[in-house]
Amino acid sequence: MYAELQASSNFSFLRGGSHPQEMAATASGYSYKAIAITDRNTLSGIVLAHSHLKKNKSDTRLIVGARLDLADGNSLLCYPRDRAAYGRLTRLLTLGRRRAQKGECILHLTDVMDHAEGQHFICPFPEVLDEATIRYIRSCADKLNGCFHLALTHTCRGDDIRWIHTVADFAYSLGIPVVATTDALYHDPDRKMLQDVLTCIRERCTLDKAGFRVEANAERHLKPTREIAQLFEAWPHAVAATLEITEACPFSLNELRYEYPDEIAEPGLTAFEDMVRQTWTGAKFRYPEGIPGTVRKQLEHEFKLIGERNYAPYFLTVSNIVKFAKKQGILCQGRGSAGNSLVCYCLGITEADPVERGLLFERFISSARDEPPDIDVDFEHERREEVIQHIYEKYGRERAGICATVVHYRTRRAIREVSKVLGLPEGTAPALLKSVWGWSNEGVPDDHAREAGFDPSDPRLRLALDLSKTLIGFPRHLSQHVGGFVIARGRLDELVPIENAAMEDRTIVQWDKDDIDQLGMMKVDVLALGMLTVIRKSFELLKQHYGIEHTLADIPSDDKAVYEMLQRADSIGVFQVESRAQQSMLPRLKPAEFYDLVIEVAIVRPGPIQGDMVHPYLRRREGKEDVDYPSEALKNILKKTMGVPLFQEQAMQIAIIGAGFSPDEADELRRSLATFRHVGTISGHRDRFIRGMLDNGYELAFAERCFSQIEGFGTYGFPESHAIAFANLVIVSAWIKCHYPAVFCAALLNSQPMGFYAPAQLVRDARDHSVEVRPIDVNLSDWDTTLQPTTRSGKYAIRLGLRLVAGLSEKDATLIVKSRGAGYTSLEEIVLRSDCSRLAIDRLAQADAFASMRLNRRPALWRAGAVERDMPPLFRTVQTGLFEDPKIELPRASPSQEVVEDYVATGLTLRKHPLTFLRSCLRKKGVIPAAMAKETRGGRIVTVAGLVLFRQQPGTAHGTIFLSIEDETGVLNLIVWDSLKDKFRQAVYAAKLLVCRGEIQREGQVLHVIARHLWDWSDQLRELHKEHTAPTLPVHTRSFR
Amino acid sequence: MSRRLLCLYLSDLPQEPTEQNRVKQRLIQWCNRYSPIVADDDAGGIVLDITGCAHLFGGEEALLNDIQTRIRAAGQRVRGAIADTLGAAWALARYSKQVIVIGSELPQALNPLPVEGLRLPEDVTRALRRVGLTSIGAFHKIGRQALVTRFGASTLLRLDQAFGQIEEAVTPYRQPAPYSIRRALPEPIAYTGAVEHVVAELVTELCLRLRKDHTGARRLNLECYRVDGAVSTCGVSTSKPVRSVKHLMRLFSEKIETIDAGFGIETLILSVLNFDRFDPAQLTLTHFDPDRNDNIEAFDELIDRIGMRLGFEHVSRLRIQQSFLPELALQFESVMAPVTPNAIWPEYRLRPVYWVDPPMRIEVATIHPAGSPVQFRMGRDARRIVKSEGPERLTPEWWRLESRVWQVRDYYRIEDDRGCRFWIFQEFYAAATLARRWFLRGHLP
Repeated sequence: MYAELQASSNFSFLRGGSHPQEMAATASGYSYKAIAITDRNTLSGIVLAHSHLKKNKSDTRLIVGARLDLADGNSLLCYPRDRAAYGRLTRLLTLGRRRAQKGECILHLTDVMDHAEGQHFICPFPEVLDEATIRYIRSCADKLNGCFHLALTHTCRGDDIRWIHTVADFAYSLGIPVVATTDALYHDPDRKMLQDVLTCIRERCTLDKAGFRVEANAERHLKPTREIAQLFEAWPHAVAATLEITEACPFSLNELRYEYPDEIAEPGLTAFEDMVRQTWTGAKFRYPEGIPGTVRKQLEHEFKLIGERNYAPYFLTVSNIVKFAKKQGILCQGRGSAGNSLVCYCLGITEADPVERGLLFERFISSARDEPPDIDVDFEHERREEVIQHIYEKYGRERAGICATVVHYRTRRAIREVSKVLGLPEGTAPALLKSVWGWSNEGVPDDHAREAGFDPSDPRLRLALDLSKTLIGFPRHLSQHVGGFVIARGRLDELVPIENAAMEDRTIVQWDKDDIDQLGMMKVDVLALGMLTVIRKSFELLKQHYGIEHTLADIPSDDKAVYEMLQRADSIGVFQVESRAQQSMLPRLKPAEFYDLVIEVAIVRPGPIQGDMVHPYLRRREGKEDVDYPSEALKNILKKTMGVPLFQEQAMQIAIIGAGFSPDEADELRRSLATFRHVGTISGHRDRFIRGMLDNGYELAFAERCFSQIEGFGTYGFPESHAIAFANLVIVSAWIKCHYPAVFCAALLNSQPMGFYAPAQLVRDARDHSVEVRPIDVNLSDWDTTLQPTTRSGKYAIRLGLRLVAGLSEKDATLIVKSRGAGYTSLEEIVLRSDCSRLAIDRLAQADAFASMRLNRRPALWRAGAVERDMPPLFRTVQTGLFEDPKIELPRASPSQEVVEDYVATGLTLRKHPLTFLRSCLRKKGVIPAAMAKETRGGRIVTVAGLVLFRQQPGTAHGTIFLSIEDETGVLNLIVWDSLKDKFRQAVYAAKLLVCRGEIQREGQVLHVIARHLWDWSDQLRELHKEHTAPTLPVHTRSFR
Repeated sequence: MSRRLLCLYLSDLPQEPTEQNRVKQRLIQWCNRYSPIVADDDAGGIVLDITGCAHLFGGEEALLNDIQTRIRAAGQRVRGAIADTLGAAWALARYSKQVIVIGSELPQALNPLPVEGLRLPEDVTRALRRVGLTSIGAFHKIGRQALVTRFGASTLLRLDQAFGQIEEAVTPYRQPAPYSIRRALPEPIAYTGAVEHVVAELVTELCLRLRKDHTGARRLNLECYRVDGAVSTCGVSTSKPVRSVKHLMRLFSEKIETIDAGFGIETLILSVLNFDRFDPAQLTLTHFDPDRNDNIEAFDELIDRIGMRLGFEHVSRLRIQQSFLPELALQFESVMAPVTPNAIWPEYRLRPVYWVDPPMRIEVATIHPAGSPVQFRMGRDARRIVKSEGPERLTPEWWRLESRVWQVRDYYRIEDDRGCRFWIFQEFYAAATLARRWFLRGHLP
């Protein structure tokens, strides 16, 4: 029997060549008694290994431990024996991490000694026994008497037997016991190549120059027990010592008992009592006409479950945060499965009544699953920081921390690094990656390489393609999770090591959200949502200008005008349904009531699309197909959605009721699909699922469809409660847009950057809804976009804000607005009175913001140039009248030049659309305007042109690319089939101005142009500003999946 | 006589700076045929002051045609222009159709050109473009004070230089002074001994200058101008920078014998074609060991002399590379290559003193399949192994595709019953049937 006490996973970044779970699986396969994943100064990888062993009910145990790399170059392996020692280890790592830069750790031997109580230590096998090493080992042995071993490691370096003897004799002479270790860097010798590549990435060298930095052989892999016994034939006691240490270090991650913070309850009440009290108070507020009996019953039911599991402190914690936000006037709303809980609704965490919607509390907390619930709360994106600071303040930094997100290697990075290490010519990686999207995890397929002009059978290129594929999914560094907070009762740093994040004053724990879940710890997701900012700003404008007050809860959800607007796909800026895909779904689905929006939100997701659920649903909705159910049992689940599963809950329930999964198994199935770190387990689930469905008498086709949908849901599906929460925001934002388009546009502009559309499209949409949009003006604009009265009472125009001016700081803008008084009469006066920077004046001039003083862009820029640089205001001389020649005649800008300059300075123009100026030229080439194309019958071939707004390649569309182009008459959506994509690669991926000949395709009100031929005309944009070295029109194209 | 300047704009110079420099300098030197004053304009072009030169080539137009035709024939794209001022010629060469502008035509020709033609800093031209001042003319019309306020006085300087209000000098480009020592003799000499004597004087003087500059010669050339007008030359090269008279003379004396003195040599020029930095070595006070120093120098001199005789390409030295594989660890390199330190070899990886190359097949018996060898046979010669150590397992450097070795090898150090020591290895093959093949790789001390 053997236990491996020294193995590095790939969480020892750029050192280990295997995932922790691969290490664990191999150790388990070799029937090790135990394995310790001793990554360098981190515990990041151990949870993955631990949960892998636990899930597979392996007899191999994970010994918690870490390799401590000290600042003096020495190392120690440290294994806590009990919970208290574990807390000391995490504090030690926190200490080292917190005083170093992100990603680094500074520890000294004295620090280790301070935290040594209850730990067991191993000194790694020394390569030389020089004076310094001897001194180091001696001092460790002296101080760590009795819990210190010296490792013996066999690496096939030639003189191993002699050297191990030497070291063992030395240890014996000092009375230090020895222990056998492998010092594994990978689970399988095949990973040697990848490990060499990692070494070179770390050392920033090519393999050819790596020299002795890479290993001489592939021996640093986990070995079968028999082989270990052979290698250490002469030292059986060293092998036996591994088991002794295993015995001595029984500490397991299972012992980490997470405890909720306890100061949240009112004094004198237990957390549970306080929660019940607050819930009843909330219920009275939610149901002013009296709490209905059903609600009462449901609340009692939920109390029972919450009480049993002792989750009350968690509810109180979240409710506390939400209360704080509401007090500060920060809009927030719970999302996700918390929407299933009536308690959450009564506590004000969520906004939709789950009883009314018929939602199951069991989706939130089930009696079967023993894991804490997950409440995610969205806050306004601009003010979330306040909430985060509140949490830090209330619980203290040593008790609250943000989860880590493990940043993995993706295709781009992997190909780039591997090509560099292999010494491929510099242009290779960019050429290979030309058609790879940023988030790709698939590597570069051979045919892509071939298209890029490479021969994939070329040995070096072959190596690059293959090795990069293995590298994908390797952790690269820890980053900050978007908002997952862990709050502990005691010190958090005794639960998990804490390290610095890239952002100043931010710390993250070394585990990511899955690790936290696995260990049953509680976390609150404090998320940022731009739309909440928009809604809050809209509410403020409504109050200010119309004198009406609204909250998230009181927007009517049955306003006919709103649904009519959405049915027209008139949804730019509206939450969730503004995307191209949603816009083409709206006229087909024709939402007419709130629940339709819930479906609308859930249906345009990769899950249902992949599972081919969309078309059956639409057909049934349009009455073209009968609504039927696979069985009576499933009817209950699928009734709401006309027999087609659309929500995560439904998929789970099909697994439970249809395929005979236990709720636990169903949940594990969902999880196993969620992240690509569980690759390989899917097919087992699949067989089980399909067999279960067939056994219960369902058709194979239906079973397969259900499973593929569950697959899609893994990452992209919505639970119903989540869709309801989102639909609520859809209705609120659509209501504002429908009735107060000016307010909506101003609020959107003031919340940028967010959402799908750039300011140019938002402004255009507002103008299409006959909102008057007034230009940025230094005398009339505030920092924010504002509402200004028009001649018609009750109708407002919007005045674009100074925030749209590129490069203008908020500080300068505020200074200018503050000292404006009755208005500035000249540019120089602004400088004198407001003390703004010279740059600010220049940027304002570039944005043509001096119209109110009858100063055009060019003269303004000219005069801005005369403002003296960096002078305190008192010393500034106003040069007009003194030196300025008043007769300077600057050449006038042409209209198209003005448009380009507008785009450069503000990203939009209120003048003509850039394509207006190219129209005559386009007409000659047979290009018709978008508006005309929209009038054309389906099946006809047209040629259209426009600025590329979006470029989208959804993972679900088999390589099809969707492009949105815009001309002066409207926006058109193009579809480029996979087969065409390669022929017109340049035009598809890089064009700013695209010309497309294609076939009009109509489906109801939805119109697409199916591309047949594409041209990249971006060069024409230069013609707009017909001057040597002039800026080209900056077109802001967004690419995404 | 008013000045005439010719500006050549070379539009497709290589991107890489040193390469670009090389091409440009070659062209500048070549341009000396047209005028003694030729300069690099530091903006992708060359400037020639052709004041008073044009008539030699049949006038300005003919000169311009000639120079352009020849440069183009050499495969370089070029556009030239002639004007009274450097600034104007510079702008015309880049932006104008009219390429020869003389006298009063100047303002008329310059005004329509873009402001970039004024050689202003990029931020200034950008600022001018933004307000629509895109041509030199529009810019010229603006009040001078307004320009100074905004862009500083240097802007006006460029303007005035272009229009000829301020004279602009052309600083001719010169090559860094090479070492060259000339000795004209009162009487022609032909006797080898006398030539050697003069060369020794030249070398001595040269070495003094080299010492002063902390440089050493790598390539030298000796030109002997004979009374009959012919020139005999001989050259020597060294593997390292050298400035020792003794060393250089030894190299030269072998060559001087070959010089054909004809009826006598009247002038000798010794030039250094290549030199490198050569810092004097610091002598330590405590361990002044002239012998050792001399040894190194003597070794270098030996290499130089062998190299001079056999050609340096035939002289190599051994170098230890950072590779665990014996085939790659020791490599020959040219003695002319710069000396880099050898890799520090890990002591425990013992290597043979005598290599068996290619490795020799031997038969080896082991106790159990994966165990240590106990007996081996070379041909009929069977030996009993009394001591063995290993394996030292070496994996091929998988990224070296040109490498011949593709198998993992287990190396053993063995000693037979006669006290001979060997380095042998076992090669692993994927196919189990071939798994056992042993080779003798070398003899150990």
